[in-house]
Amino acid sequence: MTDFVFTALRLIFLALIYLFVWYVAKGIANYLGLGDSLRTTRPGSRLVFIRSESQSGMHFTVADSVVLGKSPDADVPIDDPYASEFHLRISRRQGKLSASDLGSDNGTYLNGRRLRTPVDLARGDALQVGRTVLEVR
Amino acid sequence: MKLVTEAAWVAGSAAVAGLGVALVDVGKTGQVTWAAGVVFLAFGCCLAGLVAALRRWAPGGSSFLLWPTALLVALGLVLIYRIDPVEAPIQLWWIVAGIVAAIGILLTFRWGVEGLMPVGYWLAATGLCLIVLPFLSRLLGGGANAARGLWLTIGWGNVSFMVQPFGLGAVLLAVGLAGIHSRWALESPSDRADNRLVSIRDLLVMGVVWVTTLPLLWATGDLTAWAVLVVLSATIAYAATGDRRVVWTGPALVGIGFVAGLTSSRARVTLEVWLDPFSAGEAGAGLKESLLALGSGHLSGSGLGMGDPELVPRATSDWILAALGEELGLAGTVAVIVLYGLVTAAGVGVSIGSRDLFSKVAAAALSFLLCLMFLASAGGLQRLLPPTDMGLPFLAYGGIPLIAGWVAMALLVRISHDGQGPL
Repeated sequence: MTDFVFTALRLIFLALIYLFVWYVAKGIANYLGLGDSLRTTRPGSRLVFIRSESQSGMHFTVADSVVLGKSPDADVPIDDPYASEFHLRISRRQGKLSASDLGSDNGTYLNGRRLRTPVDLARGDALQVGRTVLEVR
Repeated sequence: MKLVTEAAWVAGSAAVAGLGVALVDVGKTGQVTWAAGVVFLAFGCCLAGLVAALRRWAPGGSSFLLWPTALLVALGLVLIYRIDPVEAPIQLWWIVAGIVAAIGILLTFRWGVEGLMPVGYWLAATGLCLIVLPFLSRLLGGGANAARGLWLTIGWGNVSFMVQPFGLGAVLLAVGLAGIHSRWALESPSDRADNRLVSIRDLLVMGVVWVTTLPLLWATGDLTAWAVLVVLSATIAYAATGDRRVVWTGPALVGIGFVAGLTSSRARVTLEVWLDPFSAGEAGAGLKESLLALGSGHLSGSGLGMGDPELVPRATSDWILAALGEELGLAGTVAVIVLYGLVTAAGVGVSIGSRDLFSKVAAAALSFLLCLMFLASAGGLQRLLPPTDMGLPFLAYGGIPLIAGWVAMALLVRISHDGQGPL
């Protein structure tokens, strides 16, 4: 077999490995939410608990408006002693999600900054309520 | 993931193994033998069985953990077939055993892994026993031939074979320590779940690991493998408590142990080999040949079956990355590094998404263990760290490290399944 054919086969083998690696990397990036957070200008529709004592990994979709809080009467109960009974509201306006603090004691933080007024949310944004962190996806 | 997509992943992984074996045949003899077809079918069937088990017992689990692992195992099989065709069928049987063990783990823990937390002490103790087994073998009169480095020779009469209990011991130790630290962290009176202060008990456990494994360092001189265990114990304590002071305790313990270890002649030999492998004689032969092999690989390697990896001693086990670097070059080596990085990233993702503290810490522990083992082995091979006998998980020849790797993978997939689900 000529050297040329063998070299071509060798490069095809390496290309096949890299193709495999590329698809795996893409899948893992999506699994980790990196693919979404890189496109921060896109509106999100789903919130995922990424840090919580008992709710990590859980998620919910906002259709119209939901209230999050420690109270069992909240639309989405948060298992966090630092959360207020009715802590914040997330609503959908013209396809975009927005968050507003409901006068909570410990405040709501968007990407590390305390929420003072209602703010539009984008994919990759992190909302902190007490020690619970939710990410928009 | 859809069944069709998973079938494509299975076929892709098996194709890499089959094509690699075919290229080895072409490179060595100029013609393709039936071995390529056998490897394609056998490896494909094994993976299909594992995927079926995943769909049955952990359907919500991240199957993206499986695919980089499968590719690493496939590349390892190809390289072993290249270097020693006699060992390749044995490795294929070990792959079958590893996948059966992974299926066993998925079946056993089909209702969750929480049951491992209360038995953390037992798991950690068993893991430590397995790790120090080569040292105990010498101590109990096995003689110098009973253990070489981290390897242990088991024999009856004229029949003998070598095993490396380190990998399985480290996996058991990681899960055990995760159970111990998580249990204490949950019992902690502090209500700051994300920042519990490390307790004396946590430090004591790190000290026990340090003291128990120190004889291994003296007996084998394997500074890197020992440092992996100490850093792992510190990482697990940090993952469970969130106290950053633990992170500094790890390197401090490694430093003290390093100085203490230098009282051992074997450790001093390891250090001499690391500093100057070309004048270390027989002891430095592995590292010397490994560096030469890596250097001769260039960008895309000499081609499968076209290099001289047999010149590297123990090329299928301790120095397999050198053989890969020679025949697949920098491109192949970087692909392997990326694959290990992806396995670690996916494992950390599983840890972040876990709902309970034990699952979180256990997933972090297993991911860091795989990452540390890779860094230690690859670093030792490229003279960034003192050389080690520790085999690369998934890639290197050897039954117990391979089974340990599959067990760790099955546990991670099971934990990722538990972390999924709507509110």
